[in-house]
Amino acid sequence: MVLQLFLNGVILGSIIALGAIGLSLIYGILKFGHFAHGDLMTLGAYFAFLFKVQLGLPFWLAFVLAALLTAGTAILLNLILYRHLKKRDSVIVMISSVGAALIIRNLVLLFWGPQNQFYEKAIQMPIVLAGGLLRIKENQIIILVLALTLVIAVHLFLSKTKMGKAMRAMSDNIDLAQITGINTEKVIIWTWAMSGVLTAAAGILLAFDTHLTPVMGWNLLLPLFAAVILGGIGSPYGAMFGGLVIGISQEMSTLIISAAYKPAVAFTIMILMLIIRPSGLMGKKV
Amino acid sequence: MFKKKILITMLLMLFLSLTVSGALAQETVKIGTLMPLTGGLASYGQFTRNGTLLAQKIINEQGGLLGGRELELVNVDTQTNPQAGVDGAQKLVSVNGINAIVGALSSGVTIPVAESVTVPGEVVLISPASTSPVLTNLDDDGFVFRTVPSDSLQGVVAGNLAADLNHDSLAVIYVNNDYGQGLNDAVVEQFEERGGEVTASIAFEPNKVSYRSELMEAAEDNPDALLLIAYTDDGGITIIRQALENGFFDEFIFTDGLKAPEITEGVEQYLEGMRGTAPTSMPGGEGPELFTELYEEEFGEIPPKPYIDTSFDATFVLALAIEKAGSTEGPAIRDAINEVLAEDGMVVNINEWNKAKDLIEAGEKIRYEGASGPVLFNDVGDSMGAIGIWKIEDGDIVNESVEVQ
Amino acid sequence: MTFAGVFSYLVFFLIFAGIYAVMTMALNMQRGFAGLFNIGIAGFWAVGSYTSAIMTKGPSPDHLGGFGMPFIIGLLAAGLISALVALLVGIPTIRLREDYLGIATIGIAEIIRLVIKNEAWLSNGVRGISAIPKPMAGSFGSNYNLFFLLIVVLIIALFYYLSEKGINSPWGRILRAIREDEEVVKAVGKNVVRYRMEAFILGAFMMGVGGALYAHFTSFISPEAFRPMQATFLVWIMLIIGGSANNFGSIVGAFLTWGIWTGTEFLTGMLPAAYTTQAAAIRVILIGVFLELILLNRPQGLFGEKKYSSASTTADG
Repeated sequence: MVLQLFLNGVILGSIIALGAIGLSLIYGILKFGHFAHGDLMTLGAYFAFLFKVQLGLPFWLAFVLAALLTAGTAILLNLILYRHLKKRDSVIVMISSVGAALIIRNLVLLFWGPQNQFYEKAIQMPIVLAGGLLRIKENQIIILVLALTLVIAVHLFLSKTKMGKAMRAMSDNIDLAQITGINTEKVIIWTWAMSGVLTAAAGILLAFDTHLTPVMGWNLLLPLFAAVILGGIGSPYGAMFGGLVIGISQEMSTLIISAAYKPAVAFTIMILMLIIRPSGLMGKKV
Repeated sequence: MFKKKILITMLLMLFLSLTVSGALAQETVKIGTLMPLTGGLASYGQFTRNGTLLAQKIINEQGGLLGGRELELVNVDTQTNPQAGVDGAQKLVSVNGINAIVGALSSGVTIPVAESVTVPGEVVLISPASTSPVLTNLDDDGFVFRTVPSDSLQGVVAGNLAADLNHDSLAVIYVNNDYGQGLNDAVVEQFEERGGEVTASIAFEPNKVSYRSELMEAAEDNPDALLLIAYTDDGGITIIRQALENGFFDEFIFTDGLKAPEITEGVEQYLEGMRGTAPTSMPGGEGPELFTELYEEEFGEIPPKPYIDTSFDATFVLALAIEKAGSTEGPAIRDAINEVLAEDGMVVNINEWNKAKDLIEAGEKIRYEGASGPVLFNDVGDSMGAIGIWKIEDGDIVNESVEVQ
Repeated sequence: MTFAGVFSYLVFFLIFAGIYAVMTMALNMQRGFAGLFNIGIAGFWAVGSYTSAIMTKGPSPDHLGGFGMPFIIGLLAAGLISALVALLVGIPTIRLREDYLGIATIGIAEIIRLVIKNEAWLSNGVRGISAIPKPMAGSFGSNYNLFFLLIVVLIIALFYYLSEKGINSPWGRILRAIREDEEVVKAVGKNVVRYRMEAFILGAFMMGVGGALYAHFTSFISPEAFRPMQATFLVWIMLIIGGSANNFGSIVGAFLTWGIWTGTEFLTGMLPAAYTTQAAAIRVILIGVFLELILLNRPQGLFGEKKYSSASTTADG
């Protein structure tokens, strides 16, 4: 039971981690909490549903197309909303992102309806390990492998490419980055694109494990923010780690508290972190 | 500043004209309907509204009521939300001058509407779907009725079903709202009375992506079966699938919210032979068959969703009462409902509005063979009802038997 | 339709809009004057509603209490408990960046909703609390709503007077100065965190009172009533439409927005049956787009920020 909960936690945690990386970088570079991030995740999952189920494309192609479309949406949001509001105080940008979240969620409702959807109608029987103590589905193994691959790709991008290094530099200190001649506009667009891809991936993997529902991303918003704060705002590696911690503790919490209060776990961890060390485990001082 | 004032005045006038224009006084008899066309129960509201429209059509085709006046239905969308529902009901009563309302569906809307609008305003309210036991004991001066049985009745039948299937222990997972909780309480009580053991009784939040923790908790003591109280759209299907995928359960008992063919899609072989309960029509009478026929003539295939027939009946009963009262005043309609309906009255079928009018004129009582079976109210305005048992056969849902209250 | 009917609906409309106006003024205290980002209004609203319901109802086996207190005590308790929640949320977050408060308020609203849903001993869980007493019920016959409207108007007037008074006082001036330039205020040795916290608590108090008014007016509350859309987001739109940092604008914004929100209901009825289920989504999308357009083109709202005097302590009307 403990083992099983831990495994479920790792799966949920790697999904949260993927979403949190983008959120953290946006937070670090653009200095505002992007409240539409969860709904972007939903959108990505539904784009994949469109390509895979409604248009009958293979899964990998649907995945790639959905990730690209979500990245496009993220860039578009920046172009028509956030870029213009940036000059004003950050509360305006945030409330605008809450508005964007509502618009996206209701567009999903409009086009795909309120009912739950599935990538696959048939179900998968799990592989039983450790004498029945551990059950894992083939899909869940795929999720873990894909999430790990993406995290390694992000790492290589951030540490080996010029753009990736610029992103980290900007997230670290935007003024310094500007002095050193980084094209900030370009970096911002790349940040949105990368967040879009990762967020879509998180949404698709979540739906791949379970199902699609228009509120799936909104419900994960708090865990996403908790992961970002835990890891330290602007730190992509912190976000990965934070995501895992939040995922595992949320699942393991059911050993102690009723499952009904599971959503409160992320919040509690976040508040504790804010009291003890507001800058996060791997962040700089706020 | 001056321009702003003009702008505000204009907006206010626009708003007033919008609310007012909806109701040009005509010599129709008006009944209000409070159906959720949006929000959580939207997928039901659309069809229950059709139920009321069908009743309206039959009545108007057969000469209307109160000496040839047309029946007019005014619907307000409750958005499945109490604020909007209360606001809408107040509009119906004040602006449209309505004294009789069919609705709302969810108890969370019906109760505040009754408490803050219809009871103080002496308006008759018949809910076709609110099953909460709270409604039974509402301090309502007799103005609130419902054409569905309270959910405690179905719980008893479901508890008995589990015992009859020779299950010794049971886990219950229920949707965390008044419907789920009421049903859960009744199931647990009945199953334990029959000597069974309920190992876990767990509420779930709708629309989560994963219910594995709830299922794990439910499966902990290895109960014989899972009794699932849920709707298809809010997580019920996911719970079934995750229970099967993770090997938590292979025996299930379902309730009315899951009486829909969607639940078996992709998992037919695992659910073959499983049973469930649902409110159904009383045996005898041809109301249900006739209703299906008339509905499909008008709107196409009837979906396997509940409360369409009860909405039809609520509308029809209100029309009967208005005819009997000879008035559209709330208290008169309220009193007329139980005056006109009687178990041993003359039989009236759902397409026999003319006959009903003749009987009322002759001072006869009526046994209304409604779309959901004979409609009769007890002294607190609850409908007597019957619960059916259904079964999954070859991926389809078939009715098996009926238990009467 | 009669004149009396229209009039009685108008009274009803004004009560609802008035309750929203209380919420909007409360948010204005937090956001408009102190720059605080509270997106958990639903939580404070629920706390106010439930507190007053439990305080004023007679003893009941279904939930905590009731304590059978008078209406006025219910209102006060609602405000105080809501303020207490604000204090608890504020302690870890208010000294940090403003967005932390935003995230924390979403979280606390969610937790409050979970507690109300799951702790049946406290709140009767998902079944809600019914038969919440109305003040002086039965005294005014069919004119009762008019009396309730009077209560709502009195409370709006009181809050309006107090916040205008407060914001023109030295306290208010420092608050506004903090919002303009925190560092300067810090430099002159003022405790910035304390002023922010006070504004947050005052706003939460007003929200609690607004929630209590809602509970007594509808007589029934259940967790369904406190959804983010109707309880939080609508209030934000009201504030932004009316104009931040302007109490009068907040009130007008509330009445206008509630008018548009209930007024567009007729749109749903006009759509063909097959599309009605989509109407809610379309409505929210339209409201969302409307909000973004205002943010982009007229961020100061209809009325803009009110020019409060920085020299004298008298209200400048």
